[in-house]
Amino acid sequence: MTRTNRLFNRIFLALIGLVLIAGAAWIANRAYPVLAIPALPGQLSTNLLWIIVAASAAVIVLSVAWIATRGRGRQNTVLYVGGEDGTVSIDARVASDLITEDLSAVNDVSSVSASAFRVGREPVLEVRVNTRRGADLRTVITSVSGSIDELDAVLEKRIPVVLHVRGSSSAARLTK
Amino acid sequence: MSEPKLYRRLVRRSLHRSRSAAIIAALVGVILVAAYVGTEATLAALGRGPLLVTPDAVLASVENPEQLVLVVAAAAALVGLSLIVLALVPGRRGRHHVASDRLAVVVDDAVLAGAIGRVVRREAAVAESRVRTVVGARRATVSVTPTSGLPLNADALTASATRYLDALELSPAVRANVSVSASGVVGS
Amino acid sequence: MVAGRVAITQRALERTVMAIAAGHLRVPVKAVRVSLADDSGLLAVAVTAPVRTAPLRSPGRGDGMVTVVQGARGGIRDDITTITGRTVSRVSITVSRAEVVEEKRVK
Repeated sequence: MTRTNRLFNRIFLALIGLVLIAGAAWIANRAYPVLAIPALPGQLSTNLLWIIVAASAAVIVLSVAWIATRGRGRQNTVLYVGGEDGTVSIDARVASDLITEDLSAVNDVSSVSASAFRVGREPVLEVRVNTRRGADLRTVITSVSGSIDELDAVLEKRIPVVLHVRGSSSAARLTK
Repeated sequence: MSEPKLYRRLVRRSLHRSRSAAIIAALVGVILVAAYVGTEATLAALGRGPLLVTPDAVLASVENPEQLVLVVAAAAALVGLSLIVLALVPGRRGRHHVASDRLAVVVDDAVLAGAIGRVVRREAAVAESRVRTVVGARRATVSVTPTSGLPLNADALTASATRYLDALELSPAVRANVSVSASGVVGS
Repeated sequence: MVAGRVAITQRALERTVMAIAAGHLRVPVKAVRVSLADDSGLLAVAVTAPVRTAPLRSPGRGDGMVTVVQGARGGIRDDITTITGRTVSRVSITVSRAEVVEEKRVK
């Protein structure tokens, strides 16, 4: 998600909130008049009704369209070499298989998984490492970094990598 | 995109919630309301009877709000307020960024707490159950229960924890504070 | 080589290609998935399979995975044409897993 997407998301959320509050304020104002606001028309003309129908349809279409754009492009191909006479794709699972084997001797690491997603057109590898309680972070990070250096040589390409160091699934969350 | 810029973006995405989920939930509500409004408006425009309430009746009830309408309005205001709060609050995901050359590294605060706890436990030479660590956005608070008769130096322990954290180069930076409780436990 | 046509069912052709691919990738045949399609009269082959490879830190690694798979692609294409007589337009390989095996050198 880009920086502008995130800002836009928050502005969007705030706007929906404001619309709701404004609507509620309007109704409250009618019950306990504070501001003089002209009354709404008592009857809606057929034209106006159709405009409302069109507007509702537009809102639904835009909302569904926005929801459809979510989904982080989880492609799971970490490397792709195209060509006229055929292509070579390497799946993220290959990276996790190699890294899992490489880290098998590291006690602090309990399990490794990997997936790929696209940022723009570039594939990014996300490596998730589950660690044992009290694991030494430096050791884990250095080990994975070493594995990735070797992976760079195997893939013959330097792929951007995000390493997410997690606890074991049963670890209590000690956060404020 | 250059790698440092890409990594900054990826780290940011990992450390904070994007609010996509909240928007989707809100939009589902919007879709349902829009669908209902559109249906009632269509029925009214075609001169048919309403599904539940005619648009004219809705306008009338808004102009002279009854109890029920006011309650609904209050509920809507609360939802609106929570959406605004969600929009403004940073939405930390309980993770920190660790500086590293080749990788963009993000660490769960639980793991960070475990690592700090282990450093303090080793130096204090007490059992794991005597050390409790809580990691927040910018502070790590460690409480140690000493063994009776073997006093501990909170400042020295804090210094060790701080050294460990500084070496990690966390972002946002985390300050460590180790406190030793006044009462200890007799057995070690 | 005698020129000629060989009549093979689609299923038999698929199995043949699977066996050829498994050979070049050095993995079991049952791990290989193959999909054949027509490409303007020629045969387009898509293979999804694991690849046998040495552990990450092996000394004397040799070629990278892409180079090895590209080589396999060429070999697979040639073998298909030789064995089945079909002209292949493209061979696409998707490496799904890595079978990490220590290569024991035989002196």
